[in-house]
Amino acid sequence: MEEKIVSLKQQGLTLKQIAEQLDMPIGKVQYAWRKWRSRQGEPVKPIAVKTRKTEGEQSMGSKPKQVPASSVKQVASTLQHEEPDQSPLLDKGPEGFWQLPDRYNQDLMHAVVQSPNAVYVFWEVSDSVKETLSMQFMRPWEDLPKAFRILDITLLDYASGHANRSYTFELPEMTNSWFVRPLDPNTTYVFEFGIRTMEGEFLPLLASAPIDTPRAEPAGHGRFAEPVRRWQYGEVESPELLDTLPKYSAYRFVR
Amino acid sequence: MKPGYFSLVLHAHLPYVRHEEKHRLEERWVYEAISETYIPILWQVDRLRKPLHWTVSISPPVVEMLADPLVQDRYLEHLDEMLELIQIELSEERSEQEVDALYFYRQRYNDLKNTFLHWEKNLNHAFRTYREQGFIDMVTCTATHGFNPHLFTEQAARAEIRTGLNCFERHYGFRPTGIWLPECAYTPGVDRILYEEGIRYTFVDEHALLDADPTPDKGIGAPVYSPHGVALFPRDQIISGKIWSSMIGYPGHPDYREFYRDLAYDRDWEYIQAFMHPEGIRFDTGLKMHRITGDTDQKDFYVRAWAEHQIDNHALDFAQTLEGHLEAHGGQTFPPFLVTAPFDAELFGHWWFEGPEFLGKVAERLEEFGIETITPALFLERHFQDLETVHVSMNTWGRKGYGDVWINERNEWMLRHLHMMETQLVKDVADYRHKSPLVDRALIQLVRHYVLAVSSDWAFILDGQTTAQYAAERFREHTRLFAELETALYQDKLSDELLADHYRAYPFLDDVDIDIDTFLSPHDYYVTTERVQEDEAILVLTPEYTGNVVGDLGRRVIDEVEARAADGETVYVLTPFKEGLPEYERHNRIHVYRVRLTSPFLEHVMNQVAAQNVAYVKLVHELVSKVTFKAIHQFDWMTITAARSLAKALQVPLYSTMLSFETTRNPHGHGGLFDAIHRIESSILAEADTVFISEQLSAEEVGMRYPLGDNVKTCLPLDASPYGQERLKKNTK
Repeated sequence: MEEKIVSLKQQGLTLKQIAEQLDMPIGKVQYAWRKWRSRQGEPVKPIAVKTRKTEGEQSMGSKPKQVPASSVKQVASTLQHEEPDQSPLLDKGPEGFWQLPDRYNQDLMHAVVQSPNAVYVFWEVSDSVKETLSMQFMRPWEDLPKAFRILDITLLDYASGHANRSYTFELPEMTNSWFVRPLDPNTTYVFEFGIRTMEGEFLPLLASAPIDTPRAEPAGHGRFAEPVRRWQYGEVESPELLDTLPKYSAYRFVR
Repeated sequence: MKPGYFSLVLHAHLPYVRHEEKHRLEERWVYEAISETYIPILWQVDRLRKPLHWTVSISPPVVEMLADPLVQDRYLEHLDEMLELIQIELSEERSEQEVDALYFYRQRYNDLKNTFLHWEKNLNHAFRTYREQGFIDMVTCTATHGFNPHLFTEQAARAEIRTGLNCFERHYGFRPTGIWLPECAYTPGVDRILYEEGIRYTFVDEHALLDADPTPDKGIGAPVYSPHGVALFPRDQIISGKIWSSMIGYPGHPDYREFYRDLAYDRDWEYIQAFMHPEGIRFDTGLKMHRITGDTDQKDFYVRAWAEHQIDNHALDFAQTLEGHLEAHGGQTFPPFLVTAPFDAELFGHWWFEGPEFLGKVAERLEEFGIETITPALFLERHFQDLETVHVSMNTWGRKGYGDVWINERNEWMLRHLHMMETQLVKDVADYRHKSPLVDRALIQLVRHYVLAVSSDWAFILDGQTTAQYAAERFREHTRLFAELETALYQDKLSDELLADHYRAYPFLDDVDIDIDTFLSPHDYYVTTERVQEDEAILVLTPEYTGNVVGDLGRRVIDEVEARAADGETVYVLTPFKEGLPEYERHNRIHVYRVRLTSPFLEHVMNQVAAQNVAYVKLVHELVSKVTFKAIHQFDWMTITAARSLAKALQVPLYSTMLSFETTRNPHGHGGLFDAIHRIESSILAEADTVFISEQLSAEEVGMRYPLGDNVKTCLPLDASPYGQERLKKNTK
């Protein structure tokens, strides 16, 4: 049993999760774990309550001067292109074992379809962007109100800035994903994460790629019929259709 | 022959649950599938020995586990244990009905063992032989059943598809032109990849066609082409539903075997313990002694003869139903009406114990009725000219028809990590491919870890919440192994032993199945192999540049940048996007990026400036993956925050040129915006290594409104580089 506990622990589970999985009292799991650790010659530390690093705590925005040099270095090492020394997916929990990283210090937003009426969106804002904003607005990142915008850009070009309609709503602090619903079927959406400025303006920081919600009823001769026909008969060089699964390039902005 | 066709498709899939350690409960999923579904289906093919036109899809994890000596030997042990248990059961005083059921099982398990040994423990040989004899057709699935609509990159989707085909071809000796898309999940664009990988047909649920655009003339009576030319065969829900739903379909008949009642739970622990998990966990033996009986907890014993009688009845009923269905659509021509019935293979045998025999009987009845069966491959050969091309939106055969099962509050936590692995693979392959054979093998192993993590089964299991811990653990384990191996790659700590250890954890797929170049993008290939290496560069952030010069500032920037380029410096200029000008252009050593705001319609100046600065920071994040900056030079207050934040993140010296200040432009200014700009300007005076101010500004005057330090200097003549070499060296350590 001890072996099992150790193996689960090394896979990154918390003692509580292990206790649940093995259907054992947490005290027993803790005991077995400490015993094993002490046999390994490691000092037995009191079992800390798992403190998850949160978006807020990691932000350098509020007190940039107090950030220890090492963490600035960490950011620097991931930013300057000297070969990274470890996988971004490698992260250690308070007890020294691997855990899933809380975040990757990137700027990204991805959306995937859940249903004709719902899309799942997740995102992340890098420390540098947070810091830039807090310098710009002279307020810590945590104090800038977060908001989310839904843009219906069906048959429009997102880059033009135009949308058929949009809807903006406030987000709780430290949110990094959202099931956006209800949406309309057969509609092209872009989602944006950003802040609400003092003037009440929505300032987007991240945008998803455009995404089509599925149709949920017969289309008749709908908006895709003609583009499909033109593509089928070779009247256009490339299809005027919004395909998912774009080819990704790691160095797409390096020319 | 009657008009119309019937096409049966069976998809065999299990997650890869092979573990080196013994007694993993999940391994029993494989035993159950072999005993109840795979071998019983093979029995029917063998009994009928004629072209059945069944299409059997077998997923790479199943193929690999069936071919695995460890799994084979353990399955054989399992069969022997079962025979032993049956023998012990028969030696007990059991009722006559129970003994009858036990005799049935004894015969059955002996047959299973004989068949298994006949094929030398590798059932792939059986399927392959029957396919080569023309009795069945076969296709496969993507490498690990990854859910296509939720993959992030084309590369990951292609890797899943190509790897699956490679693995199948290695075991089966041919490359199928059809594929089973995991969960019948179609997403626009996956058809292009499929087509490029040689796939000409796949299967979708019927609403894919019913809601297609334009609406197909034949409804679900014929397949359609997707925009990129892959034929999509729709599941006919009326016919499938007849079988599928245990409430209205056949499997719920009282004479059929009860799935939820197992001998393990009807025996004392002391008695059954020897056949249970050594850690004292009770699990199904597979000896299910009862029949459904009815809507009651009082289950009667299974009577095989009664069940066989019902199989005959139901096969006849099915053939009659199908006949009526085809006759109702008999008028359809070009192409004739087609009923496609795709199923999870495990429905037959595992969930519906008598299912395989039912399929065999149906094949016989259909022949008697003159109903023509056909494979999708053959159908396309005959009728490829008669299909419409339509747009199909994202859909699946899952609950509610879309992605609800694979993305919800119980499993959404996995997605960001999967997307991270995808983009890391693209980057790693670009950076490391062909560095050495060892490195290539490490890249292959990274792909292996990724595909094992991306299996749709983990999300599916987490959605269902049975054995959820196992799924979560497996996902974490593959992600951890990915992270550890990638780190070893970065730290140059690869070795044969390390790679062997990683492979041994989950010996899924042969290295030759995995083509790392599926992750390569042509642009990355250019950047990593052909792009000329540059010296460390100067990053210039400026509100004005060529094409967008308003006053002195723009001219000053252009002159300075050109002078530095003439000195031999490489300069990256980031400046706002302007309609009509290219987003990127290059003049020898000068790269110009005209950067779009994150939103073009911001009303307030400060918000526009913020959006521009955020856009600069995001772009530089991308550039520093390949470009090394040795200094940042920002011009004017509008680029200050990005410059400060980047100088700190990149740990490089920061230079500033201020030709004017808010207080000099606007001596009597006041208000919120005025104050904000003033504060931002003050910040650069405090933080920049050197601030150059216009010779036309009096330091004294500026000093009255701003704190001026030693770092403030008058602009240098153009021919003097502001980037003192001494300073640069000192700061870029």
